[in-house]
Amino acid sequence: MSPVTPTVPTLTVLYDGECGLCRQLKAKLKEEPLWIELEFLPLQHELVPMRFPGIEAYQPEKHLVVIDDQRNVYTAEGAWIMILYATRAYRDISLTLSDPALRPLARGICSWISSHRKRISNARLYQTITTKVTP
Amino acid sequence: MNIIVWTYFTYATVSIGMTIWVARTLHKNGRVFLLEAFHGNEGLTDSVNHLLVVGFYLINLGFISLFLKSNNTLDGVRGGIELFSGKFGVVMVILGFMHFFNLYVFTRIRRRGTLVKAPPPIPAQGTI
Repeated sequence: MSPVTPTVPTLTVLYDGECGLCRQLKAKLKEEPLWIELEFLPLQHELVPMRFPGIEAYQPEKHLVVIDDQRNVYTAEGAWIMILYATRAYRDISLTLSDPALRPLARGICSWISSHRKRISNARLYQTITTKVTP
Repeated sequence: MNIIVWTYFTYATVSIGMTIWVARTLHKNGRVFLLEAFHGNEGLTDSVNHLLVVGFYLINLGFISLFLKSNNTLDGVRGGIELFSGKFGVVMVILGFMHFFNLYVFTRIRRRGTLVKAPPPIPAQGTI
């Protein structure tokens, strides 16, 4: 099925290309059936400042940033809500999380994960779970 | 006929009548939910609605049938009324649960149907 919502046909996700957790999540999302196309761009990429001048103001190195076709910017938990909104399986979770009552909780969790992403990526438990066993 | 047979007969008649009433209510009022969920596709709506009601009938009639038997020795008319009351009460509670469960299912189906058209849930934090 083609994307249905005409207002947001594609989302560009600026993620930290040096973070294992972010790369892992990107790989997972690439396998997801989507309603809105997701384009992944590591924030270290040279194209980022050219394509999105002024994006530094949103601190993409600090938290996840998502930009839509109209150059609207969503950051932190807002970025996560938009990514979940793009997926077929998790759109209902996105609508639930966008509720004003739950958003502070989502903000807290996303902020914690963003600030600890390098530590989570280096954690032994995380590496055990995500390392594929090669024969 | 003795009292236990009358009690069984009354229990079965009233419980089946109640099941039919709840199922018809569900069938009539659930259609609107499903119609919205299936974007006005009447054929699909009627089909799913019918299947849900058939499932509802099967579960409830099955339960009523299995729940009929009683090993109590009845103490006259009073015992008969008490047995009927106890059994019918349980059937009503089960019907109530089933009814709310069906409402939940209708709501879930409707929600999933509206997800496709849902607008972006949050405003953007800014524009570049």
